[in-house]
Amino acid sequence: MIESTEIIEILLVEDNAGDVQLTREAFEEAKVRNRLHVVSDGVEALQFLRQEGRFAGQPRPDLVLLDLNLPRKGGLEVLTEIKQDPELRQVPVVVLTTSQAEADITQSYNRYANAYISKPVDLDKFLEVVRSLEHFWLAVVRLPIGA
Amino acid sequence: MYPLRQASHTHALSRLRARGSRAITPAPAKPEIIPDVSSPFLSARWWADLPIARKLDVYVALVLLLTLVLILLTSLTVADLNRSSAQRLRAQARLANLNSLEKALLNIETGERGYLLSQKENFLEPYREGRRVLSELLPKLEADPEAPPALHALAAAIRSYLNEWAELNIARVRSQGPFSEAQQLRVFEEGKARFDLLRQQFAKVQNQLTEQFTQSRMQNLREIGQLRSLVWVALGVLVGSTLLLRLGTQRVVIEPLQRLRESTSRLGGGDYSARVSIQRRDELGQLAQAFNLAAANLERSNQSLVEANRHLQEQQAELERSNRELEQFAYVASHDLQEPLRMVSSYTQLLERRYKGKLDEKADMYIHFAVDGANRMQQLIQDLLVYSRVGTKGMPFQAVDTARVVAETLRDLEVAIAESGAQVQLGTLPTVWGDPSQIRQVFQNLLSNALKFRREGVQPRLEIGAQRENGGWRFRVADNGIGIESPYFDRIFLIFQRLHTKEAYPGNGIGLAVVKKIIERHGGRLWLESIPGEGSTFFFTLPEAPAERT
Repeated sequence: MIESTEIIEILLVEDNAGDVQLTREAFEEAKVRNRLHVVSDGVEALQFLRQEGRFAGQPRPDLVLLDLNLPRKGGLEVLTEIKQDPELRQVPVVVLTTSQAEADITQSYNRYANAYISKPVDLDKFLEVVRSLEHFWLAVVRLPIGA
Repeated sequence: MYPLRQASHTHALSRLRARGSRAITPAPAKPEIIPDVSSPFLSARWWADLPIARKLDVYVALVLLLTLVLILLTSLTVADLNRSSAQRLRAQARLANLNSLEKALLNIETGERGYLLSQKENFLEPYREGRRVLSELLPKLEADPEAPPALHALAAAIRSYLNEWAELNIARVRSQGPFSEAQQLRVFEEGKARFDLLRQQFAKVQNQLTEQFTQSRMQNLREIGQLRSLVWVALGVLVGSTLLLRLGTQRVVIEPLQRLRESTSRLGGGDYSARVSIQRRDELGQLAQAFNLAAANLERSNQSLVEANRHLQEQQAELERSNRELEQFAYVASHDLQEPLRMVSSYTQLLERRYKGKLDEKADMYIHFAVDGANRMQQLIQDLLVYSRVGTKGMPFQAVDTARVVAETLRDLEVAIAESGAQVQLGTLPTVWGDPSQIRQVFQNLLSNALKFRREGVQPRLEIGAQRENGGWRFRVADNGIGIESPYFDRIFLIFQRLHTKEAYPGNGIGLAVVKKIIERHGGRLWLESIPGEGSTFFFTLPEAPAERT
């Protein structure tokens, strides 16, 4: 396992407070030092990523966890914009949603999502998912420098 | 006057209404004969209503009567003809006799005169010959009842000439010798006068006889003409009655039969409004009435059938729609229920994880129940989703090799089979027409049930087989497990129905409900036979693959 001393920045795009808290809890149990930024709709997500408006001083995230069912701007639209933006397209985006629909999975990958995960109903499994997410994307995968 | 007329009007109206209301009350089904107003003659009506058999009787009787009259007339005419022919022959014979008579008379006169002149016996030869002929002819002529009256006078004149003149003269000459010249002249003159008288009488008879002959000949010819006419009349009757029979049969039998045939084929072709109009009360009229009644009944029952069918189709469509809606509802509900449930479940689990043992015992118990409840609900929703997906998420049908499906299912159940030490016996399994994953689900559920509900201390034995049945396949999955009591045969196929506690046999009571739904989606049947304590056998039918049907 590769040890990292840097703080990992994670952006969670999720409108459900319950899910936000659960994810937060899961990352708190994680081994990697991380900071979880939360926005609750698609418009804010893009503003955060582009460091616009009130997110001007925020860091560029190392990983985006994106729900599909969002107010104002849907998750798939956000995904499209990220992947079309040369500045942002290197940031890994993991779709994390309750939907198990084939159409959602296919469309997400067609828009270059880096992974698609259905939220497990069982808490232990959810924690397991977050742990493996962290392990895979933040410890195993090598990403371009400066991304 | 005016109000009176109005009153009568209202009466007529009320009568009409009364009749109308009476018509509404169901009258007994009776063929109604509509009077034929187009035929103006009572006799025609009478004739039309006469049964065909009676019509034929009347016809035959008339023809026979006519024939009888003709035969009678003919035989009378023939008898007359016979009589007149005989008469004619007799008249002819009489004329011939008269001829012979004339010759004999001439012989007598010549012989007598010769003898008187010569006194030679041989001159008497013609005289004697003439007398012999006369003695033969005269009684014959006189005995003839048809002889003309002049004949009797002639006969008497001949006899008197012979006896009172010729015989006397001959006897005189024979006894006293020849007459003197003067005497002779006198005798000859008187003889000539007497014979001339005779000749006159003869001519009269001849005239009368000729007249008789002519008359009888005329009569004879007339009667021959009569007979000829009769023969023509008989021929005419024969031809006429034959033509009449043909035309009558055409009108009375053949034309109505043709109409009946046309209507019958229309009815046979599905046109239930086909009717026959034969306004007569004979056999064909009755047949037409019966036909119309049958057609009306058919039309009525067909109409109600069509209506019932439409009603049924509507109900079927309605049922299908509501069924689809229900499935959709179950699917959406269970799907959307997942989200809040995930929250409940996750947070109760988080609560348990973080605070178990940190609060009091009761709090732990509460947390346990909450977690357990959330888990169970989660399972129920999962099951409901599976159940509703049978209808909403089915795949198109295709050929499914059940032998392969069963082999895969058994591989999935390998662990359970090994643990229970079960013995599996496989028959020959066919290719069927269906949804592969659903058919696999059927075998999965039935086989895992068979393993689950095994008897303690008995080696489980599973049998899987199939045989043809009604253009499809009948499968059987048999076990030697605990069995099911017959009152529960229906209940086990209902969703979430269980016969045992979860402690004894885990499960949610979804497996057989799903199996039933899948089999029904395939248009098959599902049933079971079971003896408690000995085992159960589940049967189900599936359609065969189309390739096999050819």
